[in-house]
Amino acid sequence: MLPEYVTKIEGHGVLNIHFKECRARLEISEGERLFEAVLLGQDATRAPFITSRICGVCPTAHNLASIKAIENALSIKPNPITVELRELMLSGQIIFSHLLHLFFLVLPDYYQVASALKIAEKFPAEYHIALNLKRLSDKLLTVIGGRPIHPTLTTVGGFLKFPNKGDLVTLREDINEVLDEAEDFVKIFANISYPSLERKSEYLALNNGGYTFYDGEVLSSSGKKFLPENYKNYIKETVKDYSTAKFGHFAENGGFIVGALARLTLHQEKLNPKAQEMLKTIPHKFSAEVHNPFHNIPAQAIELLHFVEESAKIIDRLLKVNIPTTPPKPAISKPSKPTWGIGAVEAPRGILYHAYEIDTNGKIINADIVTPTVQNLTSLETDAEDLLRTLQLDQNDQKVCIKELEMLIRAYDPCITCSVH
Amino acid sequence: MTNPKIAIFDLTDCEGCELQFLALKEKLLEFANDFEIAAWRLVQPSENQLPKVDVAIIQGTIVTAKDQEIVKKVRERSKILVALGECARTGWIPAWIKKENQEEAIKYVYGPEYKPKRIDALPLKDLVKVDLELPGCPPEPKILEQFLEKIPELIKTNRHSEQSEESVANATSQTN
Repeated sequence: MLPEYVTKIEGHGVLNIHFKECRARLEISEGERLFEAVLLGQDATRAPFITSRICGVCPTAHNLASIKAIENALSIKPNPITVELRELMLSGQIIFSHLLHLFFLVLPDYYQVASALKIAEKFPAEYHIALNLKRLSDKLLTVIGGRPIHPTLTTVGGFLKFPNKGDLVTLREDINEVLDEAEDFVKIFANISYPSLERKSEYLALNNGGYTFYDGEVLSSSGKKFLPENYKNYIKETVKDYSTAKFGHFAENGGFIVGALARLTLHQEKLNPKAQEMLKTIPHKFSAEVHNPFHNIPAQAIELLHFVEESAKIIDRLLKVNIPTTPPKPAISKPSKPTWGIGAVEAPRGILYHAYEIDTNGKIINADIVTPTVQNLTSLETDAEDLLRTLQLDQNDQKVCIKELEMLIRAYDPCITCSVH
Repeated sequence: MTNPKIAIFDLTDCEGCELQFLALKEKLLEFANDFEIAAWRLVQPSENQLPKVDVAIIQGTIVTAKDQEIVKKVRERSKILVALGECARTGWIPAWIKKENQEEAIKYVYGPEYKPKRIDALPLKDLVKVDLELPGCPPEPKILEQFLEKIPELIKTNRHSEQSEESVANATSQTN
């Protein structure tokens, strides 16, 4: 018999519940592709091509974290236009991934339909909005990165091709056209009543002063700070016998949360204006003191609007500068001694670390990739058990428990292929 | 005539190939009306995870024992089997680690105590007969659209070839 894979999540996991012992686990059973071992012996400049293929949902995030890691190791400083374009891509990446999760994976749970294709039949207006947002994110990722899944135009040091102004002007107009719809999209998720579950947690997000997503130091809700370069001192991974994904822990505290919920909570006053307005309509507050994992859903919705606005802001800045037809090509020299480089970005699901050691021939001799889902897995297990305990107090039948636990898993938006990689 | 039954399966992979179906946007809905989607784990729950179908689309590399089991069962239960994308066609990046180096690679990533689920990294054709390949990492949405349009014709051709195989078999048994 085949295991009952949880549907409508990214990758293969089985929900294993022991009702008597009150234990609930998402057992990750995705096959090991061994990306870190694949990288060994490769030319470092080839890593972004390889590592974007870790994930079809957030390939641009892996691609950029990989590029940043190599640039850090080889002391390459990309020019300001390159950085702006990367931020624009990453912004498009977050819209792309949140949209997929919110509309295609999560919403059927709350609309009481089997799949997003059924939403299309029953709620055609909502489906229409979702497709227009998808069109925008696909176009953003195509104009800047070459295509939405597995970018083709990015490279260590910069870009193989810069977009022309005409394409950016059209993109800017497209954003204007969908801005109202993006607000309507957030309203769908703002008006849902989510299951209640509450405990104190710890949230981690990058911070450089704004609603950070491309760089910065790591900030925690309890006030701890560290540089991404030092992640190994703070983020520990353990191997478990029932999971092909490792489990992340933060220092001595154990479970923690990264992703939309952590970012929104830590940076809520820095949201763009329309997203800020929408935040006011949400009936609960976002705080690590009263962590409810289901609130990751409205947090992602608000972020989606924020990043549509953010994309417009970045394009407006780019339209004011002269974008050269030929991108600059910084010299790439091999390190004089084996050197580590670490790159971190906010992927849609949270902080993503890529770390490589590069030898004097420019080859990768060590690689470590820590994905957001791995960092969230410990908390997911805690929340699953808390939820099961709460449900059992109400003496719900087992089917209700299973359904609600699956909803919890979906709310976490685990990216299982990322977590195993 | 009932709508053709199709199913989409993912083995060990990034799921980028099946996401390309969503890139078809409005057209995906039109196709959803033309077909019965009998299984698609990423998008819907199904009564039967491995239903009998006219066309089975498989993406991903065969890495675990479960992957192997799925591929064999899907082959038995489908008339036409399609390899979607480079992992299904060639094994792609996971297959860069050869079986003889696998143990060392697993130790490097997980440490010495870990018991892997990985057996090998194989393309579909190493285990079953593949009727059609859709190339790309991931395949462009246009390729998927053209393929979906062609499904009724593929089923028709397949039916004819099955019938002619049957008649050949009958003729042979008569001569014996």
